[in-house]
Amino acid sequence: MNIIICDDGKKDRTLLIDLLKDYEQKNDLEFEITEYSSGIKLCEDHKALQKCQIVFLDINMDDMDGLKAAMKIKEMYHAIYIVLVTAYMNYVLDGYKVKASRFLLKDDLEQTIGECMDDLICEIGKNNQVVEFPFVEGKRKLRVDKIIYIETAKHKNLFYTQTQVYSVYQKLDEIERKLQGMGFVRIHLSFLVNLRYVERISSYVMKLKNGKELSVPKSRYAEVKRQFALFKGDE
Amino acid sequence: MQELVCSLLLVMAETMSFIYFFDVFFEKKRNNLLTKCRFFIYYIVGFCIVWTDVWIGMWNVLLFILIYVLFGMLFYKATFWQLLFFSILDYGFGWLIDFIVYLIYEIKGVEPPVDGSQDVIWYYLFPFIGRIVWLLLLVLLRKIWKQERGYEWLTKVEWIELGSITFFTLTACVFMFFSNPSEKNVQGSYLFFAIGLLGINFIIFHFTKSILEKAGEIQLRTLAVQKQKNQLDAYQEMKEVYDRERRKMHDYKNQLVTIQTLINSEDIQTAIAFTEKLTESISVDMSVVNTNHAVVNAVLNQKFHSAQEKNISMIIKMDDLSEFSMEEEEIVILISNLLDNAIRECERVIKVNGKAVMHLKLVYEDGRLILSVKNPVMEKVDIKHCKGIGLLNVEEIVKKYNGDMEMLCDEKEFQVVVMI
Repeated sequence: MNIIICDDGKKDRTLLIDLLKDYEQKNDLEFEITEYSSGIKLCEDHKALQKCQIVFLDINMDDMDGLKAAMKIKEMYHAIYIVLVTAYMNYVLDGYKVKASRFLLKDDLEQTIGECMDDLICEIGKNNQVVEFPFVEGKRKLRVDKIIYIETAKHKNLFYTQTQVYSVYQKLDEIERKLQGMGFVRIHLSFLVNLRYVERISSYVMKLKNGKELSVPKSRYAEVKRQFALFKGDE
Repeated sequence: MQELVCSLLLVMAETMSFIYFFDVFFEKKRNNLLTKCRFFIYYIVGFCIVWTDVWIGMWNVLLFILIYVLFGMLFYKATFWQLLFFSILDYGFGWLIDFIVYLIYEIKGVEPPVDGSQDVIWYYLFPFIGRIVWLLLLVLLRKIWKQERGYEWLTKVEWIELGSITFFTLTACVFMFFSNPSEKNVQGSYLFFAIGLLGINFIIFHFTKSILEKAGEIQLRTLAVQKQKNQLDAYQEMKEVYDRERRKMHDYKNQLVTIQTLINSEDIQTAIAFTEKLTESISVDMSVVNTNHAVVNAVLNQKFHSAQEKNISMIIKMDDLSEFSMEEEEIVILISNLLDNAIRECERVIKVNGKAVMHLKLVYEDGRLILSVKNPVMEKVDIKHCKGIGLLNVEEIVKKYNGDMEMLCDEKEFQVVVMI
C-alpha cells in the first residue's frame, strides 16, 4: 500500500511515519511511505499520486495549506483517501469542503491512528474487491464496486454495470454467497443490489443512482432498510 | 343434522369470543381484507378441530392453543410468548366459565348433558351458554382494559406474577372439577370460589392496566424532562461559547496593544514570539466546530470538549450541514443523546483498556442527514432491549421525520445509524 505524508514539520512527519510503521508491523502489512514537506511539491508529483492510496495531509502548512492541497488532489484523483491532520480543531471541520475521509488531531494521533487505518484499509479493501465469474461473454474479473445490480432473467443472471451487461448461468443464491460481505443486499428473489448504488428506499421502492426503481417486497423491506442504513453509516 | 347445526353455532360463539378476546389485548398487524376475514378463517379451522375431537380427545386442548398462537402470529402484533400467555388465558377462562355453568346445573338439580345423550340440543346448550356468558364478560373486560398495549413496560418478573395468578386459578378449578363433589354445600362452596377467582382475575387485569398506564405517563414525563434538559444544555453551551469569546476578545485587544508597543519600541523578535503564542492560544481556545450549522456546532463543540476531558479520542467524518433544517430542540436531542451514550460507554472501556476511540460520521447527502456513531463496548448488548430514555427520544424524532434508525452490536463495538 502506498501512503504519502505531507507535513512541513519534520518532527510531525517522523512521528506519523513511526506510528504507521508500528501499525504495519502489528498487522503484517507492507507500506511504502513517501514524505513531502510542501503541499505544492506533492500536488506536482503526479507519478506518486497516481499509485498512492492514502494521503496524510497537515492542514497548517506555510506554502499551500492542507485544505487547498486536498481540494487539488481530490479534483485529479477521486479515489485517493485523504486524512487531514491538524494540531488545531478549528480547521478540522472546515475539511467538509474537501470531502476528506477522516480528520485526526495531532495530539491524539497515537490513540486514533490504529482505528483510522483499520477503517481505511477495510474501505479500500471493499472498494477494490474483484470477483470472477464464468460469464457467457467469457470468464472475467469484475470490480465489485462496478456492479450496480444483478437480476434473474429466465435461466440466467444478468450483471448490470455502468457500461455493460454480463450474463451467467448460475443460481442467484450461489452468486449471493460469493458476494457475501461485499455490500450487496438481496431485495427480492430475482434481485441482488449493490448498496453503493442505492439512492433511497421508501414506500417499498428502492431507487438507484442510475434512476432505476426496484420493488422491495414487504417481507424483506425492514431488513433491506436496515442493511442500507448500516452500510451508509460505515461508508 | 341437529348435531351439525349445534356444532356450527357453538364454534361460531367460540370464534367470536376468541377474536374479541385477542382484539382487546392486541393490535392488528394490517387492516386488509384477509384481516377482516379472520373470523371466517378461524371459524373454518375451529370447526375442523371440533370434529377431530372424536379421535384425538383431550389433545385438542393443545391443538386449540397452538391454533390460537399461530392465528395470533398471523393477524396480531405480538410476540410468541405474549400470544401463548393470552391463548392459555382465553382457553382457561373459557373452561372456567364452563365449569361455573356446570356447577350451577348441578346445584339446581338439573341433569347436565352427557356425551352420547339423545337430546343433542340439550347437550350443546350447556357449553353454548358458557360461551355467551364469556362473551358478555369480555365486553366488561374490554371496558376495563381499554385497549392498553404497553406490554413492554412489564418486566419478566411481572409477567410471571401475572401468569402465576392465572395458573393458580386454572389449577384450582381443575382440582375442583376432578374432585367431583356430590354434596350440594360443597358444590355451592366451589361455585362461590370459582366465581370469586374469576372476579379476582378481572381485578388483576384492572390493576395491571393501571400499572401500564402509569408507566406510559412516567415515560412521557421523563422524555419531556430530558428534552427540556437537552435544550437547556445546548443554550447553556451557546451562552458559554459567547461569553468565552467575548472575554477572549477583550483579552486579545489588550494583547494587540502590547504587540503594538513592542513593534513601536522595535523589539521585533519578542513581538513575533508573542504573536505566535497568541495565534496558538486563539486556535485552541475558540469554539472549534464548524459544520456551517450553528446549532450542530454548539452541540458538537460541547460533546467534543466533554470527550476530550475524559481522554476519549474521536475520529470524525463531517460534511457541510448548512442545508440541513430541523427544529433546534430536535437536533440537540438527536446528536446529544447519541454522543452521550457513546461517551458513557467509552468511559467504562477506558477504565479497563486505558483507551477508547469513538467514530462520528455526520454528513448531508441527497437531501438526507446521515448520522453514525460507533463506540467500543465492554460486552455485547441486546439491541432490542437496550433502549434507554435517550434512544427512545431519538427514535421519536426519527419516526416524526419518517427516517430510519438502526443499531448493531457485537462483542467489541456498538453502532447506531440515523438517516433523516
